[in-house]
Amino acid sequence: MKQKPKMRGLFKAKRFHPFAALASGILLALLHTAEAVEYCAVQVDTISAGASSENGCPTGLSEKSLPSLTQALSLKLPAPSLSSDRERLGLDANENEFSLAELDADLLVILVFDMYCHVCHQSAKNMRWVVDQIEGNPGIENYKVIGLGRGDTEFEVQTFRKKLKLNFPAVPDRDKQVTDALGVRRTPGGYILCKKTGEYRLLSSFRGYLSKRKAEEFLAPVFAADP
Amino acid sequence: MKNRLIFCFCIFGILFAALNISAQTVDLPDLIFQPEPMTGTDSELRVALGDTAPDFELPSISGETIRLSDYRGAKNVVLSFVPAAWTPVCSSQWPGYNLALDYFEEEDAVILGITVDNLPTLHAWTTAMGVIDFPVLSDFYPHGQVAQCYGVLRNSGVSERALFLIDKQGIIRFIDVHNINERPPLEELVNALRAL
Repeated sequence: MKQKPKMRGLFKAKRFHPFAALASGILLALLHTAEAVEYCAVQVDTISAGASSENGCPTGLSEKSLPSLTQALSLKLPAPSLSSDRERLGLDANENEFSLAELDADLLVILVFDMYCHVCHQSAKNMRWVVDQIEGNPGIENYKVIGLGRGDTEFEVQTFRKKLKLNFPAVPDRDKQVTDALGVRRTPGGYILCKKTGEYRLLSSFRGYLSKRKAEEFLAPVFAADP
Repeated sequence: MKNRLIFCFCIFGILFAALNISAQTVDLPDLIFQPEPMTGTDSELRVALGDTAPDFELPSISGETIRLSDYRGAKNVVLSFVPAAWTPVCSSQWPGYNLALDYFEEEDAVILGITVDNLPTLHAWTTAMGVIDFPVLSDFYPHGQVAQCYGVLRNSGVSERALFLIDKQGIIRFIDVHNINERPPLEELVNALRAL
């Protein structure tokens, strides 16, 4: 009588266990999930610590990632309506408009939102967290944080700030020119620009829903930057 | 043995498929239909400031039937007509009003959102937008009848992007039939409410 060939390895009858198959399935699915598209597809452009430095800032993405950074920095925005915001941005009380390039900062954090965007509503707490981390770090000096309300009016920007308790100055980008030049097509979004000498360079960015993890990744190059 | 193997692979397959389905989240912006820019307005208003607002009764996504006259004597009412679900400007207008609900409550007003879409569409769309804490009404059948009554039904069958403010006496106190391609500024509505 022919004997059945013995099964070997994992599929040996005695060793084989249904939970092994279950565990394998979970592991494979988790590996796949890690590559899956997240809610509100996000690109976080970061650099690794210890990268070579230019102009005193770590090299980040090339300027290709921002359609026209120079243009975005030079376009005029309305000055904040609140005097406290003007003070935080170092703007003269008499100025009615300003450009991002005029903000005297080695580190410029731009957070883009839209009052009507529900994803921005959900992301606001982590925007606050980002600002808290920067403000609470004594190693970070000469920085400015500004919010841009894409397509919003001044009233709408202030509504967003009040309702969501933003802890940073914000101004409207009513005609979307500045945020268009930054490459924002979908809100929320954010950019960290670094300048030690010379021109601003992109250090980090995010688009879409800002989870806590993404906020940490967004900030990581700031804390990894060479002094 | 063979049955055990088949059973385990089935479990594995079901689990793998379920986790993959849940992982492939679809972003709301990817679900938004991008129409070509349209003519700013394409209708003829049938009401005017000072008129008594035409009464109506429409189903809401919560299952209730909402009648405008039920608010008479009790609340000011903002009617927010938006053209269509799953379109860009509309998908950002109501979440903004939801954030700003305090402004309406301060003036003893309720906001009613209305489109010509059917209830299942409105349910799916508003769920995707997140929380909408005001009644959302379907003017689907007879198609656009309420929009037509107010004179804000476009020839294409969608409504205008229009706002009507109706006071507690049922009188129309503010009308904004806005460029369909743009969002009406919030402050204009809020100022109109505060002027009541």
